Amino acid sequence: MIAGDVVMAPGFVLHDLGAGSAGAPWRAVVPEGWAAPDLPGHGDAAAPRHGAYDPLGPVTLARWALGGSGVVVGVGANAHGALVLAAGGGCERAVVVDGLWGPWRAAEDQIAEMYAGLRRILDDEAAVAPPPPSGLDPRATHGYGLHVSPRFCLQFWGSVRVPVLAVETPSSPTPVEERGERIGWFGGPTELVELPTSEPGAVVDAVLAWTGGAGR
Amino acid sequence: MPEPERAELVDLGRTTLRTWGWGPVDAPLVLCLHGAYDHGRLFDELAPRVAELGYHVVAVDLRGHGDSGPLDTGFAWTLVHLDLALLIRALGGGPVGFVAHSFGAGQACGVASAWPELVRWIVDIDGLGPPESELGPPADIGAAVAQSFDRTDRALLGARRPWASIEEMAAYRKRSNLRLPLPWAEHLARHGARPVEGGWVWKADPMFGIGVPTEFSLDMLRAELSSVRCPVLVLTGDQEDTWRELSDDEVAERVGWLRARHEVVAGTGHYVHLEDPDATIHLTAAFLAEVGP
Repeated sequence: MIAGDVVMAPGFVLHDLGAGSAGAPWRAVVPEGWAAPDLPGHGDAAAPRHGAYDPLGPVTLARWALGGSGVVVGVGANAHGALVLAAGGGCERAVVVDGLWGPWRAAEDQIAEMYAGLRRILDDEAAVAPPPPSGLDPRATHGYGLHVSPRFCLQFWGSVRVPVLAVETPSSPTPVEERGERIGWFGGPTELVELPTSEPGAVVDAVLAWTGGAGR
Repeated sequence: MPEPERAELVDLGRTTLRTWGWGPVDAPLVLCLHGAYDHGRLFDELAPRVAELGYHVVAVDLRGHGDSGPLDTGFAWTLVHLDLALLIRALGGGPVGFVAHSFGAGQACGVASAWPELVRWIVDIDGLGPPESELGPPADIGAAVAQSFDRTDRALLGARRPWASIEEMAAYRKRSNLRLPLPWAEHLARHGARPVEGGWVWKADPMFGIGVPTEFSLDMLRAELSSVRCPVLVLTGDQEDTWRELSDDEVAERVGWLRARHEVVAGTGHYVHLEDPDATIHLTAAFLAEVGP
C-alpha cells in the first residue's frame, strides 16, 4: 500500500476477494471519477508484501481515496471492510453488496472451519508458493477467515451511524427471511434492495438511485 | 549467556523466518515460540537446556518480530499458524514439541489443533489467552476503529522515533514488565532493536496488533483450546505481573479445556522461564519423561 498511488474519489468500490476479474467489471459501470481499482493480489495489482489477505489493506486504500467523504461500496467478503470504514468515520455512506453474512454458526463450528481452512491453504501449493507478479493470487481464493455472530453484528453494525444500503443479489448467502431483521441492526438509516441479478451495472444503478447521484 | 549454535533464515515462499538453533539436528525437533513483541532470543537460556535433554531446539522469530518477514496487518493470528506449519515442513516435517510463551503458546495450540499430526506435545508458559473482560468488541467501536486508522497511518507512512540507546530501550521494557530481570530486559532490547539514523528502533513490526473488528469470544477460545489433542503442560506463576491477568478460576477452567497438567512455579510472574529457569527445566524434563520425545 503506497499513499502516492491513491487518487481522491467521491466513490470507491471494493470488489470481492478472490474475484478473477478484479475491479474491471466495476470500472466499466461506475460514474466518472469513482475508483474501482484492482485490489492487491488481483488483476494488475501485486500481492501484499506479506503474501496473505485481510480487510485492512483494502479498507486503507478506500480510506485514503475517500478522505472521510463519499460512498464506499463493499462487495461480498469486502462488505465487512466497507462497514469498518464507515464505523471509523472514513466515508459518508456505505453500500454492502451481499454483505449481511450467511446463516449463523456456533463457535465450535466456526473454529472447526477455521482449522479446516488452514489445512486447505497448506495443501494448496499455489497458495503457499510465492504469489504471481500479477493476476489473481491463488491465496486470495481462500477467503479472509473472519468470524462473526449475531451478538457481534448487533454491536458492530450498531456502531455504524452513516446511511447504509444493503444490496442483496442471487449470490447472497444471507437467508431471505432474515435480511429485514439484520438491516435493522445498523445504527443509522438503512435501506434494503433485492436485485434479480448480481451484474455490477444493476448494482451501481441501485447505488446511484439511493444516493440521488447522476446515472451512468 | 552463550550465543545460539546456529542462526538461519528459512524461506517459506511468502515470508522468511529467522531461527536460532541448539542441539543435534537429527534429534527430535522442539520449536520455542515467544510472546507478542518479543523474539526468539527470549529462549537463549532455556533452549540449550532443553537441547541437553536430547532435542534439536529451534527458537523462532515469529512473523513481524525480530529478523523475520514483515506484516501488512496485525490480523496475523492464523497467518502465524500457517507460517509454523510451513516451518515444520521445511525443517523435516515433524512432529515437533513446542515450548511456548504467552502469545506463542496460543500459536502452539492453534498449530496442534489445525494439524494434530505435526505436534507431539506442548509446554505452555502462561499462554491461556486474555481474560474474558478483554474479549469482544470495545465499548466504543467507532473510536477504536478510528484509532486503528491513525495507528495504521503512523505505521505505514510515519517515521519511527529512534531511541537514543539500547539502555534506554531496556529501561522502557523494564518499566512495562516490572518483574523482568534487568539483564533480561537488556538482552531482549539488544536483540530486539535495529540501528537507524539517529539511534535505534524496535524490530517488532508496528503493524502487529492493528486489525479490523471481528468476533472473538470466550466460546471461541474454549473451542480453540478444546481442539488440542496432544499432551500439554501449563506453567504459570503466582505473582502479580503485567500480562498475567487471569484469575485462578479462569486458569483452572482453561487448563481443563486443554486437558492439561498444570504446575505453578512459585515466586514467578508472566515470564516464568526467565524468573526460574531451574524449575522450568525440571518440570519440563519430568513432563517429557512421561510424554516425550
